[in-house]
Amino acid sequence: MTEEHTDIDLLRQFREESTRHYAFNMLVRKYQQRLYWHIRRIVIDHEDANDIIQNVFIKVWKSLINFREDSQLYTWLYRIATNESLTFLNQKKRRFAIPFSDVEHELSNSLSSDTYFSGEKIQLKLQQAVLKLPTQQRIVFNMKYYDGMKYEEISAILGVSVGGLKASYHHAVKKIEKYLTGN
Amino acid sequence: MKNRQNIKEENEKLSGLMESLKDQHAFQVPENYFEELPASIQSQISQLPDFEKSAVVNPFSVPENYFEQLPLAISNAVEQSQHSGFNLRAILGVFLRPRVTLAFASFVIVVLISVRFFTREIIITVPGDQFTMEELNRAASFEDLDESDLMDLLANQSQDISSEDQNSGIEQYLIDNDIDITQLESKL
Repeated sequence: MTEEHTDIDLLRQFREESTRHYAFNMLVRKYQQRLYWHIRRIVIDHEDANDIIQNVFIKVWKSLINFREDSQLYTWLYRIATNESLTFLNQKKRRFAIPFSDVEHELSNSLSSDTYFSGEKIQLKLQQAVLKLPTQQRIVFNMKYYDGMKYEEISAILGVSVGGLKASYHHAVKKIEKYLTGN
Repeated sequence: MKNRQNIKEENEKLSGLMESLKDQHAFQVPENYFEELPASIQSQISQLPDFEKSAVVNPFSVPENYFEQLPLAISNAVEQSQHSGFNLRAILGVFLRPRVTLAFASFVIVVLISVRFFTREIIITVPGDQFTMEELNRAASFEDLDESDLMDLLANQSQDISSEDQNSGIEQYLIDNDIDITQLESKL
């Protein structure tokens, strides 16, 4: 049902005062899952992901009226979600005065006790391997491997060249394979 | 082959025992190990994630009906954000940052130290018997004192002496100098 609404339709309806709430509701329904999983893979914990996705959509509500159609809507949404997630991890780092790598070490430890995480050993190991990657590489890996996005799309969201992304993904895969076969 | 023959001959010369042990296996493997090894490797390979995208598994899950309820939660959050004049959470967030907290704590410490420093009482005790009158007269503090300060000081000191002590002092003075009080009264 929600798939019938194109982004152009939603934007047009959002600009109309009378259909604004309806259009926003449709937009939330259309993108909530994609954005939620993107955020969840960065911050790992469901409660944190839930807080962040709500903040993301509040920002979208406030700024959508000024959205320029020279970029795609989902690219813009992904960019907000990525920035919010990274800001959250940064705040976590500053709040506890710990290095960024240790935040990800903490996330890795929390996985095993997470109620909403598959108990399969190989999946746990894969996520632990992914969490060992530098943050940028981790995001690139998630977007390519889990979300199946094209390098061009990732490039538009992260503002990194396609060549840089290919190298980043290649290194990420090699590191993960090394971790899995070494453990 | 020639080289190999040379090594064999050299080993036999050096130690016949070592050469005889060479073809024996010191290490052993479990029974049927090599028969089972290919299947074991295959099984491990099948468990490895397929980076070529044929079988991507999402290991994360969400509470039941989460995505059905999320639009309503977001709608409520948007509604709340429009009504709240100032964001208390954001303000508290600023003060909870370690750098800000540290700066604030440092400021409070500096203020407390300053208040304590500028409002302290200065008590100087000078043991009189350790100075001669010349030394005391040379002291800058005495030069700075004017007559009115001295008068005030003496006036305050006399107030501190109780009337009983004063009377007994006068009596002792009269007795020591053999002064008749009636003569003093008549002169006055």
